[in-house]
Amino acid sequence: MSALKLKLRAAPSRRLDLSPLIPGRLAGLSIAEIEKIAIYAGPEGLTVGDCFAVSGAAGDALHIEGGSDKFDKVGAEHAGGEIIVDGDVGLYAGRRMKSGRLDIRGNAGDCLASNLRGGIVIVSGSAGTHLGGPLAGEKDGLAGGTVVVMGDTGDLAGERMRRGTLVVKGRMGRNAGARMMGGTIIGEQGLSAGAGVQMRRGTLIGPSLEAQSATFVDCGTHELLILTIMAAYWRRTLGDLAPPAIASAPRRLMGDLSSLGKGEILLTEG
Amino acid sequence: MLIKLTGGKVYDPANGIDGEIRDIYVRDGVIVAPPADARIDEEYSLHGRVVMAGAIDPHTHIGGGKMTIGRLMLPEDHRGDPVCRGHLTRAGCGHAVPSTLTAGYRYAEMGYTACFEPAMLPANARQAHMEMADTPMVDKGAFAMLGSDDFFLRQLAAEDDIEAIKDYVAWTLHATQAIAIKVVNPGGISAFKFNQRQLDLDEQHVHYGITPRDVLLTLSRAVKELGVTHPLHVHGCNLGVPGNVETTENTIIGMNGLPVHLTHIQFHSYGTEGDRKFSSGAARVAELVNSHKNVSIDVGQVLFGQTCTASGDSMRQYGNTKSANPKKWVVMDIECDAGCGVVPMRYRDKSFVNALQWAIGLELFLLIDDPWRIFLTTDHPNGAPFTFYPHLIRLLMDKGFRNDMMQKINPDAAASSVLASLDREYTLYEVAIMTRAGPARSLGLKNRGHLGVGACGDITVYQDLADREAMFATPVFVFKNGELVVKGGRIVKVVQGATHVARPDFDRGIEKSLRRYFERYHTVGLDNFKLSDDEIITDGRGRLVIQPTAARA
Repeated sequence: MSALKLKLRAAPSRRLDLSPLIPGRLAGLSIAEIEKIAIYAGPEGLTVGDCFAVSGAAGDALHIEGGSDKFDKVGAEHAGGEIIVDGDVGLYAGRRMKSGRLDIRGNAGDCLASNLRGGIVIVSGSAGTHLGGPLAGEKDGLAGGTVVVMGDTGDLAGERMRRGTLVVKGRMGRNAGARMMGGTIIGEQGLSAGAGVQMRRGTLIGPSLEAQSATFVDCGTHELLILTIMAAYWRRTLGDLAPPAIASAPRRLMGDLSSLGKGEILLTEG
Repeated sequence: MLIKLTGGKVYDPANGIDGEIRDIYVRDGVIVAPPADARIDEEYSLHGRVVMAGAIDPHTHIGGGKMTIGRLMLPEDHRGDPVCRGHLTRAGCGHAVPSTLTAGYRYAEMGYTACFEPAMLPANARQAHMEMADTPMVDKGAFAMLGSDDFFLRQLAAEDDIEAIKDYVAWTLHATQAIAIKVVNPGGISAFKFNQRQLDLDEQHVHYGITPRDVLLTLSRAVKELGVTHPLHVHGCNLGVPGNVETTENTIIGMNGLPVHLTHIQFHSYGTEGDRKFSSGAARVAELVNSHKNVSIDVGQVLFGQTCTASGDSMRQYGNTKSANPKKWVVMDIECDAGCGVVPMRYRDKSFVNALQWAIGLELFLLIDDPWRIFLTTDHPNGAPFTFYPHLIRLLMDKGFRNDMMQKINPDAAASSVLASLDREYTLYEVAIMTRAGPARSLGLKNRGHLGVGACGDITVYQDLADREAMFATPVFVFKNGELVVKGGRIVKVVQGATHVARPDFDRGIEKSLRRYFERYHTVGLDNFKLSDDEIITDGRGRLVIQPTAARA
């Protein structure tokens, strides 16, 4: 099956809204029709054809060759199929995506996977702040699905997370999992200061924690069967990208006691 | 500069013109008699088109603190409806609570040339006027809210002389640059703070011992005797409560012939019949309105979709918080003198209650005979955003369309409404009364709402389409003070409207007792409380129009 290919003509000088470019919405459209889609809301008006050379046929897959930190809302509301971006993306990539796969082979801007509801988002570079975070007025951040960031993340990753899994292979910024209400965040290089601040429920996992807050209580080490089940699930959904299995009994911190206090931080190296 | 509008079909109810082909001449912003042989600078050929005065919305929440709260609370409303910058217009956003600029543009693009903010509480007057100053294209004005403020309730409880109360009412009009007086849930907003959760017409306020009936009679008399043209603008007791039709009836009868305007009466016309204890009281209200010539109303039609209710009635808005959609709301006190409740609402056509509200509003429109005493409103944004007006006009003018829409609503609600049996269709003449001549006469706008000689050149030209919704949504031309501002439903010139105020005479001696009161209880000094003319005219952008008031009785 050949993918629809969009090749960037020149680095864009203004922010583009790429939310119309998802396989579900492009299905059945001819190349000429796709070229006419507006991707800039301002009075100047820019279309896909102005910015990209379009080839292939619309189907389950979309391949964007070339990237820019001005590509906003890449894969927003994506539902089924695969989007690959060879390069960076800007703000709100994968926002409210329902299912399918979004593969970003570069860096992502702020609010990556904001209010994600399903599917898999993979970023080979780093991500900005507020990963999965809600927009103003919204109640939930990440609400399902899986996000894997190979590089680092900015502050407030997994803010107001409700459900789903976030795996960060690189370093995490401050206040990961702030005001979290559910779901799992794994920081493979360890958790930074402020992790889980104001969390109500949910799980943060990492080898170490930079500075333990006074509102988290050390509950000792535990043998948790659920970790084995979770590891099997990660391997099934993520394959090689799955976080390493947790061998020993992790130390469990409960908190944040300044909030509901039913959240947990699991530290796998003491 | 002389403009000639040639050959249009003119609907000008104030001058009794019903669809006659006429030429209209506008010289320097004012409509003039056909000049003998003057040179025409611009001529617009309007053959086959419909010409009316610019429309006037007598009740739309476009200023004051509650809109700002609505905007702060509903960022999704902004995100969902962004408006990009145009070559003349500035960017904006918002569906239910649009930004000020967007509201002004949208009104003008629909052929409206004047809008009135009905709930400006005196402590918020500065904010309200600033927001209205930021609303371009249209003339505006505001009604000052009294009736739950401490100073007035003390006066009433102490059985002060009516002259003193009149002075206070007139002082408020001057101090807040208002054109009329509004009362919201008379005494009820104050009673809410004394833990009362309802206040019926004859129920006593636990602290002051007064009843809403006292408030209504006193204020209505004061407004009448001061010679303010617009009668007391009443948002009655028990808004939205099933069975409130009784209260509305008692209010109409209890006014004893004093002039009164009952606003968004749809929300006050609910019975308690049927299995769900919710039914239409429209027929009962319409009968009383028809027989009481001292009463005028606006409807506050509900139309389906997402909106945001905003009212000074904190007591009733607190009761509505359970229906908030999305689930968030603000109910607050303001300076201990009034309240404010902002509750987002999504009216659904499949909901029995919402569908019946929709039907009740339309029943009222169709059952009240005299279009001079009923005005077309949705109580923006409480029943629906004002952008739904063209849709509402089509519902009133097109029985076939109305019946089609009825097929889509909750079948139980449709079955329990008499709407299907009402054959009335509004004519263009009646629509012109309801949206132009009527509000202008009621508000005392001397040179607005008609096309006679001496009227201001606020003129809207429509295409005569069978689809009335399309016709009223995109006027061909809109003139503001004789300048072409909208062409084909798009803004071609941005202008700034005037602010209309009423300034009845009063005895300035009242300031002595007010000054004492302000020093003792208020957070703001009396002199800072008052709005000066300069604040409205800011940098010469604004303009004040002082509408005449009758001699003090």
